[in-house]
Amino acid sequence: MIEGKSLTKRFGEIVALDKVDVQMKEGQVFGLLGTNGSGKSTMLRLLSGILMQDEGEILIDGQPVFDNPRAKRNFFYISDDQFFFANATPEDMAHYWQTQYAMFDQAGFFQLLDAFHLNRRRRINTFSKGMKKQLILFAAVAANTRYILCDESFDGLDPVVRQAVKSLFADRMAERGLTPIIASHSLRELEDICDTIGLLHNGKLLLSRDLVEMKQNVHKVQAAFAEPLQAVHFPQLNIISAKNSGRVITLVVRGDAQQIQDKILEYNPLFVELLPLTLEEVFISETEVVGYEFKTLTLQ
Amino acid sequence: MSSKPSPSNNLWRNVWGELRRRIWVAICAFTVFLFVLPLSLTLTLQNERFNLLRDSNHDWLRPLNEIFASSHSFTVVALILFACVAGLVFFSYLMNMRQVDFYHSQPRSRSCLFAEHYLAGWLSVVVPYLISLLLCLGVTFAMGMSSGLDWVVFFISTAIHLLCFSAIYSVFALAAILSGTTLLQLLLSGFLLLAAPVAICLFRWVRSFLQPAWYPLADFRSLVVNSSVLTRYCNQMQLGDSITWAEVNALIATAVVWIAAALILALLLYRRRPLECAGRALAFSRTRVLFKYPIVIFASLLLGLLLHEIGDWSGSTNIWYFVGVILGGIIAAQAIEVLYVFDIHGLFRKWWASVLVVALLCCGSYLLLSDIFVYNRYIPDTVEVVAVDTNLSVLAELGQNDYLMEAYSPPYVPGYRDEESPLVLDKNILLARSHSTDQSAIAATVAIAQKILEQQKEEDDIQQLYSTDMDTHTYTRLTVRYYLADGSEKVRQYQGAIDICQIKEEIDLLLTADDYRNNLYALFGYDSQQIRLANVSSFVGEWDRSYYDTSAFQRLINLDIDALLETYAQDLRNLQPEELRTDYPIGQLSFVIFESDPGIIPKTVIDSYTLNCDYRTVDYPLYASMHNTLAALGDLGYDDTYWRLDPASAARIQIRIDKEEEISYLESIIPGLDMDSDAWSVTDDYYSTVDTAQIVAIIQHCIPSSAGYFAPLLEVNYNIDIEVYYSTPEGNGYAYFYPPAH
Repeated sequence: MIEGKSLTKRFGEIVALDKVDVQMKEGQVFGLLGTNGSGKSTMLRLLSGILMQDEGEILIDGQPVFDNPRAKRNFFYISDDQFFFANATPEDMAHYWQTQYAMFDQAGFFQLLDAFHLNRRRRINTFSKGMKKQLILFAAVAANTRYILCDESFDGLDPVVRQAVKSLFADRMAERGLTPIIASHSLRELEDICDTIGLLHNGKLLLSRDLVEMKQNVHKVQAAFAEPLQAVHFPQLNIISAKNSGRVITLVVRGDAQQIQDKILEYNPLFVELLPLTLEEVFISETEVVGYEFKTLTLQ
Repeated sequence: MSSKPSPSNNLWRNVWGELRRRIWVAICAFTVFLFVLPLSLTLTLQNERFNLLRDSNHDWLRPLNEIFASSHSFTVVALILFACVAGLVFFSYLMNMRQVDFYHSQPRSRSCLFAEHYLAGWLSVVVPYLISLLLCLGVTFAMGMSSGLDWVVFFISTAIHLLCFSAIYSVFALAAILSGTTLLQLLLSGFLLLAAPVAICLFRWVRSFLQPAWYPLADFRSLVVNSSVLTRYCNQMQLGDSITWAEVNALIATAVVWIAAALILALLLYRRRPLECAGRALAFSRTRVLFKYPIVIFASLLLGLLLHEIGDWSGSTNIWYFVGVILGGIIAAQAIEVLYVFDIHGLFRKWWASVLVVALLCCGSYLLLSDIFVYNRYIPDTVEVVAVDTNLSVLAELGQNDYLMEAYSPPYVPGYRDEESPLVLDKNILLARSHSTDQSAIAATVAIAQKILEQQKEEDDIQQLYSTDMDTHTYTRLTVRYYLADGSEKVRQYQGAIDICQIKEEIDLLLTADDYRNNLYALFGYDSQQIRLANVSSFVGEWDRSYYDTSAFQRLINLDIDALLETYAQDLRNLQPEELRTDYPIGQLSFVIFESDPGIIPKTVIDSYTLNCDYRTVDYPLYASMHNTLAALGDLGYDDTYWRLDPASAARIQIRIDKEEEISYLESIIPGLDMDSDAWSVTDDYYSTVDTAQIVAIIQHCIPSSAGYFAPLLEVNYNIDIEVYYSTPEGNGYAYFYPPAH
């Protein structure tokens, strides 16, 4: 488990992270969401031991990470702007990573390269941005570390590759309990892969929740009545948002699904239906709880 | 899942990786060393072999061993250059955020990363250097000249080169840790390596301007050289093969200390280095003050002094000093701010701090220039003084070189240093040797100081010192160490435009003080085994006798001169002030003084030069009244005729006359001279004669230019040049004479 306690990081007068407490459990995909400048990259660079926190503590499996090779052996960090040695080929980089990571699976790495038609003997500086991202993601997978820290790593990948990488992650999670930690400014990027999402804003972690748990607590209900009813007619419900269309009302309500349905049935609706919620809708509800308007926090 | 021990622990594999990725550094280094060492040696040895064929006595050992010596300039320059290149290249990963992220996310400690890059950079230069040395040895053996190799020089020099390179390279590594960009790393390295010597030089310059009464120590140069491993290493080139074991040991110790200090500091700082500084000017923002303000102060004072120097040396140019201080300080401070933020907007950042520093500097300078602390005008009461070291300098008469402008030689002591010795045990020896406890000598010294200060007061500005033409014989500097009754000591230098005749009585008092006279001549403070006679010159003989004669030197240098020294010491000490005022030397004795332990100086002094003994040459005067010394010299072959001018050899005399009254002046002081007679012809402003009587009259009453340097009390009119043309069997030539002043 990766644990950050009261993490604070300042760059001069700018507070990049302000007393952030975060836990990333093993075997889950943790998504770190936030706008540009919200502190995502800083958080990942702190977690990977590149930067030193001004206050607080970071533990990876109980060990402090800063300047600690033992802790660092447990993760592979993918920067948003990857570095490869000048004139190096994927083969050269593989040799290098093999010397750095004890479990680096060179054969597996080459297999992935071949499968995605990346020439292992071509100079990396001739690769496109997306190819470089593929390369580093495959290396991260092949490194066989417990954690992979990805900073905006899925941007620039085509949908096929993105899906393939997600499958790879899923396989490794199933096989050996890999824990990917993915930072992104796009909710949609994380929606179908993350188990837990942390929302960073202005250096503060607004929330860090399990997605399933969040979804269980917020529901979208659509009902039709003989006479048009407004949200104010349902004072017993904890309504987050409401939308009227003639006699049909769509509510996003916090609470237990059965109880919400029972309460609406008391008004004799013509029909009641529970609709699936998008992650965005869940986040709108959750951020409002902590006093923020979600649309100002993320770029979708 | 449990992690196995990482192969990243394999330090050398990573070092090799880094080295391989930047192999171009090693290739460049090897190419340069190939030219500097093996190729250079091959060409040298080829020449030496050719010379040996022509002359079997040809000394080929020296050129051979020079290539391997620590003073070999090309090797020194190449190693300094590659210390810089390797330091910049192998630590460039710290200046780029992508590389910082890449390297520091790897499972390696910072110490390990530092060690890998440090060693890779070190090896990329050292390996090519060592290969080049091996090639040199191969060439030497192949050409059959290995017997001439001095293995001690070889190993010691190699060690010096490697240690000095490592020290300079370590400073570059430290600068990389301290900075966030390569440009700043380069500037900081320069700062770390040169700050101390530059600061010492500037301190000396500033202090001699703000407190002219300050007495700079003789070891200032060595302080400058020894204050940095870079200057010390570069000094090897100047020392050449005169380097001593003491120098070698000191240099090795210095390099080791610098390596240790730079590496320990670099490692400690690297562990705390905020990596987000990549691309910024400094890694530790708090260090900005440490670097900025010394540079601001330096630039401020330097520009102040430069503008003052460029001025017309009148007292009013102090204003230019202040203009320079203000401009230099503000420009430097704001330029640093621009550099710090890499933005022209930095020009206006923190301007108040630079204004404050400049204001403080101006205030401090003003207070010192006003002598508010009565430093320059300090004179103790005679009753408070129990002893004095008095050093009075009248520069032009002594022919003193720059070194002696520091006032190490009193006017009556013509023994001056031809060469600056690398070893001077007592830094103040030249001042201390004029020690006196005699009350009249103390009173005389205080009186001279008072007269100089009064002279300054008349000019109503202490800065009149700078309006004085220091080249004239009227410029006097008095250096005194006062031993006060309370046990304290104070050293002051008083300097001013005061004529020697104004302090005639005080000089007589000093010269009649026994202890002063006995201590005065440094030559006699040495063990006689340390002294050799190098040359005997006549000022009034033929012109060419004052030059070194190689064969005479070979003969004289190995003579046992104990008796001669004793006789000469007695004669010199017996000289009375009156004699010094009316007479001038007829010649000079040149001695070589070995600073080394007398026990290790071989009798064959020629060998001593090659054995790198420290020596200096001093010249002492010979007066016609020194009968005993002249008799002793007669035994060495320098008989009466050597010291006497043969008027027959003087073929012609020519005098440039600018004013009519100069003729009457010359006729009044030279008996028998009649420049209106037919014996003289006039062409333009030049009067010339071939008349023997006129020539003899002039030569008998005028002073040879060489003698003038040794006759400070003799008042000479240097405005009238008398050119004497000789015609001797050895050749033709000319010499200058000057008439007496009165």
